[in-house]
Amino acid sequence: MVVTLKIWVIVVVIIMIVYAVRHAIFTLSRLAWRQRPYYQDIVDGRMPSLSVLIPMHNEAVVASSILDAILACDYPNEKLEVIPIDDHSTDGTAAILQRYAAAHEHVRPLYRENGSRGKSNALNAGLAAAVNDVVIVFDADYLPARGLLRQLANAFVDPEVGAVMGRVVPFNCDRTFLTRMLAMERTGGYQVDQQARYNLDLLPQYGGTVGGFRRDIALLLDGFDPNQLAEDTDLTFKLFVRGWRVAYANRAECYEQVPESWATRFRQLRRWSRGHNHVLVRHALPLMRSEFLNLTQKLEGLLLLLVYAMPLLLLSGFAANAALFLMGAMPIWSAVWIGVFVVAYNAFGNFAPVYEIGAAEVLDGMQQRIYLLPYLFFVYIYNTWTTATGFIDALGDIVRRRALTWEKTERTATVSS
Amino acid sequence: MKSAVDSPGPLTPDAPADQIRSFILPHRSYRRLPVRGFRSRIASTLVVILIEVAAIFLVTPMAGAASRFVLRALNGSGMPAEAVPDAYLGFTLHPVLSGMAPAAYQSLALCLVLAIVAIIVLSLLRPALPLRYFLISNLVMVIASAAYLIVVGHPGYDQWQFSRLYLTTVVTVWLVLPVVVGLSCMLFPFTTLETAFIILIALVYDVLLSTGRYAIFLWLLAKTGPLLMPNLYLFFGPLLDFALVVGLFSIALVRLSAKLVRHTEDWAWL
Repeated sequence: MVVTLKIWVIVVVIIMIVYAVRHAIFTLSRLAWRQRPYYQDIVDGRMPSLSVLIPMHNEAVVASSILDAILACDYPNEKLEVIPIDDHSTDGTAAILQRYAAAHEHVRPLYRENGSRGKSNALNAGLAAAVNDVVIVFDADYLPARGLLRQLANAFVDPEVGAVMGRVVPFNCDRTFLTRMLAMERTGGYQVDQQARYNLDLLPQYGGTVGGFRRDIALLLDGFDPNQLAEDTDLTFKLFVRGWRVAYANRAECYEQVPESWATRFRQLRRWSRGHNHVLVRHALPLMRSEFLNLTQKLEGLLLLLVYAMPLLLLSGFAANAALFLMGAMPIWSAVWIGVFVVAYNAFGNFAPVYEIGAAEVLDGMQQRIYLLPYLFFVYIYNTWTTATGFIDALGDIVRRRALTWEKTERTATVSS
Repeated sequence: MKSAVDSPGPLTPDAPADQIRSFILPHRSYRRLPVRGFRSRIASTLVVILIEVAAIFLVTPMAGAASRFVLRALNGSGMPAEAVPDAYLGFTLHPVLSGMAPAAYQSLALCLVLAIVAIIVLSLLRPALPLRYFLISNLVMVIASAAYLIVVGHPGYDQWQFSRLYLTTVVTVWLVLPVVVGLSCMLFPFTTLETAFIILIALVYDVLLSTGRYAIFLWLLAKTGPLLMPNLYLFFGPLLDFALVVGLFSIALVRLSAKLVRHTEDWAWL
């Protein structure tokens, strides 16, 4: 028993060390190594035509804000169609969309009143209705900057690019302690993590919003699976496994509303974890077998897929240590235990280690937020439990063959551009 | 060239070209930090190694001083205690041997029930989730500890073993800390002097914190018995130090960030 527990602890420590090293490499890549340029400066008259999809379920609070922001974008109207998808709303979203459709010829709303609700279903409906080359997706609580559509569209001059992802920046970061913490998470995740993966020719993720993909590829891949909660990660891996690339546009910033209450964040993170772990089960083997990826990309893809499985592993390591402590079998393991904690804290301070988040905040010039780094400890405990819950949900889904239902993140305020 | 931060007043349309250029800041997406020279990196590496070697040589006297302080504190509060020599990784340490209150079955059973009730109350009161998780984790540990003591009848560690475990753990932290903090610093363009300063401050801080906590833990065990032993070690023990060291590190990062913002021309472009 004791030997088994000790072996398990060693396994957990080794895996955590791998993640810590991974993020240290990302941080070095972003801070000091050569940066891979984006397609930012390509000025091409043959810009692709865009279909902007915005799934909306009861989004009356924010619908006008995002539509105004998109209509203010500097993309030529003749190459743009905006498709807000009213997904079974009951709060007046449809009336807002009708008003915009009447005023703007290229705003063509879709009204879904039948069939199952959910982001994947809404996107599939939008995909079927869209006519343009490239599809750009936004969540309803996002505020694109004026040049964003052009910046995202630039990537598609590269015929190997299947999808593109922009940078997400919270605009309500000063509201609560949680929003500040989430702003730090986003900063580390995009400014360092995504850019480093792009630099190193690894696997930047298409994040399901503030990003886009080629419409014909999405149709070829049968659109979005309604049984996937993480339809974005699902698409990312479908593309990589088939030899397409995902470009990351760090300059293409879009502003989002992050959850302001811990309970809302709990539901969001739990859903992400549940969805991501479904993607893990679905894509781990195809990823390793893909003929289009090299070994480094496959290993990085596997680490990416396993991210939301790690917290449960970490909790099991903690439980094993607690059991060893109660049995008085820990003395020579104290150093190993320190290793677990330190590396885990580093690797999962907020799905990004403290040095990665610190580096991102220095790059962003956000001095005051850097003082909050030690408080990531509490978020780390919270994330560990919440994400582990999502993993257990996913396990339950697979064992009991449960159908997945989409749960929208609660919006808390109106926004203005 | 002056940085935009230092530029006086708003930019006017008829401003001279050099003033206009000074206002063009690299957007945050294009920034990366100034790369340190090879010599500077070698110097920082040598400093980290030097401090690590010093820590190895000084760990025995530091641990000895910690034990003497704890001994005096416990004796001062009327608690009999003595320091017993012990070997760890080739170092001679002096863990403090003192008393521990016995674990009575009735009080253990009561604590177990109270911990369960507290979890229910927390679930009903619904404080902020991170706090709730932290408290519930601690209460679950209390339940596990109480159940183990009730079933097995004695703790996995007696007071002496716990004291030894604590001291060996903090000594390991002291030995690991210079490397961990040093490596973290070397990711950023800190000067060699700054790197040395951050490591030393973190080390001194941790030695003082560990020593004070050692005395408190032994006093608590003497008064309350072995029930809280796992909580003290696993939740409030040396492992928490890293969160606080991150606090010190964040102060250094803020200073670095402020320095970089003042000298925007030093920021490297992609």
